[in-house]
Amino acid sequence: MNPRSLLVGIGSAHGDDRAGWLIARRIGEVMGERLSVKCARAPADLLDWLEGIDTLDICDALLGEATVGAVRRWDWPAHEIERARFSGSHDLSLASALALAEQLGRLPPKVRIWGVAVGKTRALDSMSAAVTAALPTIVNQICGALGDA
Amino acid sequence: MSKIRTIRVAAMTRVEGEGALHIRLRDGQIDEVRLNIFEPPRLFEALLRGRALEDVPDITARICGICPVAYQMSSVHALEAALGVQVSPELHRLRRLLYCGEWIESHALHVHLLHAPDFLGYESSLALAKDFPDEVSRGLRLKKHGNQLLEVLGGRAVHPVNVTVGGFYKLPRREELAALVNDFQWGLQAAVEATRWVAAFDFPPFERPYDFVALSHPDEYAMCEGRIRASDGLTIDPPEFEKYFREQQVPHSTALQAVRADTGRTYFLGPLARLNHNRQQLLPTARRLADELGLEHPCRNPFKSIIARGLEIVQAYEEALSILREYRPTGPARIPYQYRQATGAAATEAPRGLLYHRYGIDENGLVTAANIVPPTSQNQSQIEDDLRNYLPAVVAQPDAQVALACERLVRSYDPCISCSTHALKVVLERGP
Repeated sequence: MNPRSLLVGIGSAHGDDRAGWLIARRIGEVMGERLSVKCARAPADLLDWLEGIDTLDICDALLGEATVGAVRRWDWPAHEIERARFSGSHDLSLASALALAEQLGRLPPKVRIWGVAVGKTRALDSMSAAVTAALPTIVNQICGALGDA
Repeated sequence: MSKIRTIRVAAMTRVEGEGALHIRLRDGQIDEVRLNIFEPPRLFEALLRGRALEDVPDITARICGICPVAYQMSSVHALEAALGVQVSPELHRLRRLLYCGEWIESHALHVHLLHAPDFLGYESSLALAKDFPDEVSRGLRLKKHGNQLLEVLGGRAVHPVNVTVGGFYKLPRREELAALVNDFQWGLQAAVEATRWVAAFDFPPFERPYDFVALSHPDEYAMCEGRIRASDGLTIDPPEFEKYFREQQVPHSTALQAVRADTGRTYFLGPLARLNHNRQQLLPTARRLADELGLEHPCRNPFKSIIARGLEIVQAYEEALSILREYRPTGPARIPYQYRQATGAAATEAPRGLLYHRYGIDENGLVTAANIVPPTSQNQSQIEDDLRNYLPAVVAQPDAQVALACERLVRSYDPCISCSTHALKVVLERGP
């Protein structure tokens, strides 16, 4: 783990879709200078942040999982994420953005995707109690994995 | 016994939304061409009735994530026409600036990632990126500039929230716009290079005597204001739109199609129509580039819409730069108005063409009627007509090649099927 590690939270200000941002920021507070943290509204934002990065971690809300707060991990390349329903429908999907970064020679050698199962992502809603309650556990779980890496 | 050959594109790619193309040949002759739109109707017009007129710009923006500004602009201009509101020159320029952002992001995406692969023989932008990384990176950067402009002026890049009837909720600060100048200087040159790049593509020799329809304005490259002009000389004010253009339902599409009410003919909207009617209103860099590229005037080849899109990116950067440099906020951010019972209509130029809105409002500021006619639904019958005329030149090829050729032609229109209902499948049936 070093400053060439980047964690990107993807999300928006709408309901549980903010989970990616909040989790990334809290992990940034825990990990300090061992990694840099950025928040993105769209997966394509990633394409501008990859220069000099060795390890990329991405945290995004995941719809359709049975248990809100559950965490799933994929290591790129991961064909399964093409089928996973990450929040957000416009612009490049996360899988497309990563594939494009790979084609453009910008993708770091190590890429992990953390999908956090969420509930509703309605405009102007605050984050649900279920996801809020699960945040400390999620942060610990991902921090543990990052620390072991 | 006749022989049927069917060509299907079950899910057309590199278009916005979902649709299919069905082509049936009987005894080698074209029997049927259908652009099937199967996205469900979204009923926005019914949803607006009874709502406060102030809700309209933000609700209609939700019709599309690629061109929300167009819906906001057409709706506020129509409502301001009903209310008798005339915005200040400052607000007019800021609205054009916001529209420049949308044209840049939408056109840059289409030119580099959606349409260029067709001309260079790639099946996707991902495949294109492997051999043309600099061009794809340029497209992504240009698109990002458009999004940045929407963010600064509209509050966010998708579905901006700062547009209101009478102006804006809040004017941007001078330094917020000035901070974009360096990026936009680079972008102007990059857009020129992008346009030169696409102008060098090989274009199928396909031309038709189109009826191009677009807004036209004597003093500016028409975006938000002007008269509606057609190739046959028709020139009308936007409130007369429904007298001269007619929507009609067809069984194979959930989107209404449109024809000229007076002639019954299809018509062509979008960048090529705008350029053909307004080339003399281009700013100097874009006008010089159009001349340098030797683009014919009028240009009647729909595949060359990609050049028109490139020129409009240049135009949008050039105008945006001028506004970014000169902006000195004076206010007010919005013009006040009084409710009254009235009807107002307006048309503005969405990236894909003329977008018409009409609203009725009552004395309490509630919407009593709404009619929205998006550009892609108007272009649909023109696309089908084009396909019928283009097919004879390609139909001898294997089905997969025919399907691809047809998809390329459809993509020339940059259809936004989500808007029109409010990907495309191709089906080709060949008979003996």
